Amino acid sequence: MILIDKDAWDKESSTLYSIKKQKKNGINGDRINFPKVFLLATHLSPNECDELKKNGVIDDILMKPFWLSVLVCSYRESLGIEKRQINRKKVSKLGNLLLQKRILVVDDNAVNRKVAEGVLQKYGATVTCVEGGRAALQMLKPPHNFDACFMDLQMPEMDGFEVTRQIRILENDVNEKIACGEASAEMFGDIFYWHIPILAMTADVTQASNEECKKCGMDGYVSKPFEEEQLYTAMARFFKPSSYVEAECLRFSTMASLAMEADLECNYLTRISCLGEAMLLRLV
Amino acid sequence: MDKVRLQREAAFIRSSLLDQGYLDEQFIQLEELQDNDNPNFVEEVVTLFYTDSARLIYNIDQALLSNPTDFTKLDDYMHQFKGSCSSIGAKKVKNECNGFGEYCEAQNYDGCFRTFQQIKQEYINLKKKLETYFQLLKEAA
Repeated sequence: MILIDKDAWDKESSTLYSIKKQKKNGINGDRINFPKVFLLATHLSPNECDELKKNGVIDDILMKPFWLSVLVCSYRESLGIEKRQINRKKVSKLGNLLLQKRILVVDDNAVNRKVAEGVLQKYGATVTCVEGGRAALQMLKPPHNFDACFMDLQMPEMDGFEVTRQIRILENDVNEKIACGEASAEMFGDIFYWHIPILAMTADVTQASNEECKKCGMDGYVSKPFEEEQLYTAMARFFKPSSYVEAECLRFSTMASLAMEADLECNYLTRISCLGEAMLLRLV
Repeated sequence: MDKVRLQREAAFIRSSLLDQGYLDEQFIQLEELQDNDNPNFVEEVVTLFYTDSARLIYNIDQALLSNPTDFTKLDDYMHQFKGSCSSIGAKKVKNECNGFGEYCEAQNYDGCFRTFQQIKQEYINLKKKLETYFQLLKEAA
């Protein structure tokens, strides 16, 4: 995978021309296994998007800021993988990830609470469910023992955005006190920095709520009802990675440092994050 | 009592519900959550759904009777109801709800009212079928 920022795109035309040529011919004639190229931009009109995709270098355009789950989705689409896949292998990976994690589910809907609890418990998590913002705030005021929180967005008394905002205020308060010595970490379970992963649960995934999620301090979102792959992608960021993910991270960091050492001509491109694709080195 | 026959009948009801789009994959996900620790999970969730949504349906009926019509309230109740339908995989009922949402946005009372009668019909329809299904499962056990 190659991620190119639009600003770099505008400046590095000769390098990009060589990418296009390579892509056309493929690596050793293998067009299908050429790295996927994603352009990162902050604002582009649909026409601009179409124009850029036409020249045959870019596989897709991602709007910044974006979440990992969006990147994963686009990457999978570019590989032609169907969106809904019940992958038995992934299920067992997810099983390790949530084992013994303490998760708070905040949803005013009783049916949703029960189903969310059922799913998370199946993966070995210890689940607590609450009906609304007030209860959530009581549970998540530091110190507490929760590892993550799933937050419904649309709730009557206090919506998910507001609850999250207030949780972050509570956490910042504690973090500042610890930082300036007014309080000791010991008073707060020996944790110096409080930031519980909060994921929005939403049946209605729109760009608008995406932005608002980030603004109020959420760490990501998942669809409701849960989708295993999405759940895994969302949670893998926060919890101890399985050995598979660890191996991938090691590959990536090795590659990145090799690229930097080689001090290749298109330095900017080689320094961009790339998930386990050795082809980037071959490309340049 | 021929248990094999009862099991087959239950399986038949289940396949038809899935094939005919009354239920979707989410229902299957619920079934996968059922195990020895949680032997009656699906029935529990479905029962909870019917208890909980009875309240919502009552609220929507009442809201449709009020004058002037509070479309925001209607939309909120329907959002809740639709969410519950989604959670148990009640596909047909959920799809009927989309129409209701559009009429709400357009502040079209007649559209809302008519659609809601259809929703209730589908809802009751599914309830009867699921009741039969769970009853058969019990007898076949």
